Amino acid sequence: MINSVGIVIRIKDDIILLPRALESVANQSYNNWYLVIVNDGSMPNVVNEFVDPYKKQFGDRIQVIHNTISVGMEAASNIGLNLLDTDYAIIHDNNTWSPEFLSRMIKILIKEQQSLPNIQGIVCYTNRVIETVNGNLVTIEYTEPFNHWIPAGLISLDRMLFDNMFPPISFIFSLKICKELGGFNETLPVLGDWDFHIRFLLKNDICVLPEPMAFYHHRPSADGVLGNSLIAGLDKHRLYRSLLTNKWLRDDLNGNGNGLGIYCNQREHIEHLLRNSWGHNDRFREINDRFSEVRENIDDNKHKLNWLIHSTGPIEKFFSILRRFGITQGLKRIGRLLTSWK
Amino acid sequence: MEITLNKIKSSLINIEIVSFDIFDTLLSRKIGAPVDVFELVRSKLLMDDIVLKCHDTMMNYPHLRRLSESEARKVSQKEFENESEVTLDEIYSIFKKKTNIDDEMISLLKNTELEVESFVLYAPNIAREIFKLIRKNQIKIIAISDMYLPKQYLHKLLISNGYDISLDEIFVSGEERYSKHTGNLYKKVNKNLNISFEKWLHIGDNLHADIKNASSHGIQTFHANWSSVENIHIPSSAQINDYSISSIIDFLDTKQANEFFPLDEWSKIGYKTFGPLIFGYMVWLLSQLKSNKIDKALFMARDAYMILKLYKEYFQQYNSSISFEYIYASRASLYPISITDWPMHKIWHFFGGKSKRTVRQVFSMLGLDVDLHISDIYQVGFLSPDDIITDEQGHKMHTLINRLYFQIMQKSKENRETFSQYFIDIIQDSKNIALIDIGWSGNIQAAFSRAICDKWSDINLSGFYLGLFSSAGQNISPYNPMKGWITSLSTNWNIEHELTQDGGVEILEFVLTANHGSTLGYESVNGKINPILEKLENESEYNTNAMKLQSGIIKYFEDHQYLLDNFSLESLLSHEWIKPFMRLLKEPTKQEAEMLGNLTHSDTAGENSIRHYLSPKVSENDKKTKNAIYQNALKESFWKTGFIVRNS
Repeated sequence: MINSVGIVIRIKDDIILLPRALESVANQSYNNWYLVIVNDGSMPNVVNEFVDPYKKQFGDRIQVIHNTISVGMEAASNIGLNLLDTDYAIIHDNNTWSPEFLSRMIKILIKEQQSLPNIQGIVCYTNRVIETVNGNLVTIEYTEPFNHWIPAGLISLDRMLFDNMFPPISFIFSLKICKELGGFNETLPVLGDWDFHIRFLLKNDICVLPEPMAFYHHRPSADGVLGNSLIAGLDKHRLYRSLLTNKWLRDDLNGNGNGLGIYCNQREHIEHLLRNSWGHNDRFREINDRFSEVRENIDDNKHKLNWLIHSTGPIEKFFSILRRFGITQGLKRIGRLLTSWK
Repeated sequence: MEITLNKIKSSLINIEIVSFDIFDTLLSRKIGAPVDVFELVRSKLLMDDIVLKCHDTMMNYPHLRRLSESEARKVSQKEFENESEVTLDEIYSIFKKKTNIDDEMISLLKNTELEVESFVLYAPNIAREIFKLIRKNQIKIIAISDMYLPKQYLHKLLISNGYDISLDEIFVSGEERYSKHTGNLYKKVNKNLNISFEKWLHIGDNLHADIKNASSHGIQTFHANWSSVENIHIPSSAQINDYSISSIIDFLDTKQANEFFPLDEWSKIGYKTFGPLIFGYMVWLLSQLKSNKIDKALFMARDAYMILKLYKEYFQQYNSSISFEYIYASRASLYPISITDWPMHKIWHFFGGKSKRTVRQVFSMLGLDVDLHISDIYQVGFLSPDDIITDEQGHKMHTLINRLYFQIMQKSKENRETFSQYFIDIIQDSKNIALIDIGWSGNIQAAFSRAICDKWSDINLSGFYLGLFSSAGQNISPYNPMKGWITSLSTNWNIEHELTQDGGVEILEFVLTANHGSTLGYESVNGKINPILEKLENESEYNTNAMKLQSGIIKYFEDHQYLLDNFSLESLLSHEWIKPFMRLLKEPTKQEAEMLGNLTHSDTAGENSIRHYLSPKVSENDKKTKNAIYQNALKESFWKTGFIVRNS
């Protein structure tokens, strides 16, 4: 079937999050998908218990691979991707999608490819879902925009070289290109997605659908198997970022690279310089806010002026009383009037 | 009119001949000043190749035309003993010398001027009646005019306007070389027709030429005061189109325009204020539909009901290749079936507005069962599903809806599976689709595009709205382009401010309301999806008044269709059409503030029963003291300027 999408769900002891992930896939209005669940170390019978009802519904569109010994996140991705024979692929894991995610993303990707064939992937905006886990119950605390600042159009390779702009849950890519790139870097316990996105962008473009249809679930209070790699492994991220950028720069300086290392390191310096200059922007923002206040005051005064224009009655009455009764008597009478109004 | 006719009747004793002045007596112009005809000539030729051939001449045409006439008069004055009367040919002969343009272009300009004159001129009712009365009394009628236009042309003009008069009964100063202005034309007519001055009645508008000079010959006179004309060209920095449109709008403030106005007060407001506004929008809309090669236009209920009516009646004929449909939809009916993504700003729309609802009511709109989510309801801080969501509790509801995004999206998918066919059937195979509505934030387009599922990716959907505020930026994307006319995103902050903060939006929603209830949702009947409409009981007076007002708008369109017949759409594009509406918003008369301020409005999706006054009336005491009740009522008013004027 054309425009088929392969989906990979990697699980490693976070079985509690599997039913929701399966539901997210099963809810898709787009039916041309194949799902590979890579069980990277969980008890096979527990995983099967959750997956079997879906297998009954979707038949051989769902495959489960059980790794008796964990091979790591990116190796698990590659196992799943290598089992697929679809046009496109995506890493789902324990996150969620809007029911129209696949349908809309695939349609837009094909539409954009017609005018720009170098586009081989698509990302949509993502919302971050902050949740807590109590026993076997998952509670969503709140949801917030994750990367809605990305401009519609194409993902900027330049920007991506500073840091990762989107999570895997929002990225559908050509499986063929992925395989040509050798899939994910299995030596990386974290940042495998950033490395993959950069390598992908070095060859092809990724278009942006500015609609938040992907939900990236974070559990900041959790660690271990239920923690996200980004949150729970924050120090690892720093370490492996340095490892990657050092390697790329080393390759460049040794004459084996493609300029990626020099560009990436310089890009980081520029970004820091830009961010440090934001202090000056605050001053401009302050001035702008002051202008807004002045504008509001003008509007307010306009109403007050209108009020005055249309309320000359009491003023006229004030003076007519003064004229009629003289200043002393008149003021007394006005005082009495005001007291009676209270 | 009756009094004038009786006066004329009594003046006819012993009268054997009645002479009429032509301009501003038998015929008047539907523009601010006669001299604006030249602006209209330039506008009419805007899309003609002549503009390419003699750009600078056309750019300055109104000035050059006035200058040529003035110089031609000076030449004539020297030649004909102080009579400065000229013909159109003589004026254009000077024009040709000044500009060096060829005869073909001179001829085009001259003919265009005659053409413009013929469609801006009309016969005032009172003039027709007087003419009829004199004909009935079998008294000879002649027409005498100080004019440069050819006699034969004027003859045709008079005939086409219902005046049966023969060519030899018309005397025109340009051709006779005598004028009423000097008084010599009266002598010339007297000599030619051998008529007695004493048995002659002259009717005209000019106090010097028609009254003083005719009386000085012993001619009886009647002052035609039904038109008030100041023939002055006012220098302006306005754009080319704006000057012409401004002249058409200015006509509404003249005395002679009164006969065009409907008698009913609502209809009169419709004619004078909203007629120009909606006309300007429709011109812009049609030009957008053409330039964007739209093949199907979808008019969205309820605010585009009137727009569709006007489109079918007055605009469709200018672009018959566009098919169109009316779609029953509202925020309340579309939101539950359009949640395919989760932008944070949209969540507020589910429960925002002045009319407050309970958690249960919002859950019901989203298709959720409160009992299945009671734990979430408590956890965000509500004590019961029947708690009213006040402004202070808005953030709790926001959090609650966010927590349930997965369930809400799933429910929305089920709704789409059931009801999307209604929209898909309407779209059919069309590819370039326009969505037409009153506008503001583009929420309806954002919801509609999502409600049609996969179809969205197959079509180009664009919105063309009366106005689009900066808040629409949240809904615009490469896949959801939209434009507004009065204001488009942040193009005009002042107008946006007047509309959003001072009643403009609420008044316009009243003006454009449909004669049917709001769309509550959809139902499947025998496999066909039908809209469920709210009964109009709560809004009956509101609707009756809106219909009256709309009849005024329709009459405005009837009276101004000549513009569509004679001008390109491009030459009618102008923001001058908005001015009468902005005047109403900022400087309403007491009567306007009373009428429109007394309207009620509901600003909450799916809730029309809770309504608030646009500008409520407060008691005399509150009005006098401007006390807390007054201040609160002012704060709560949708139309604050209207409130101040109404309670002044």
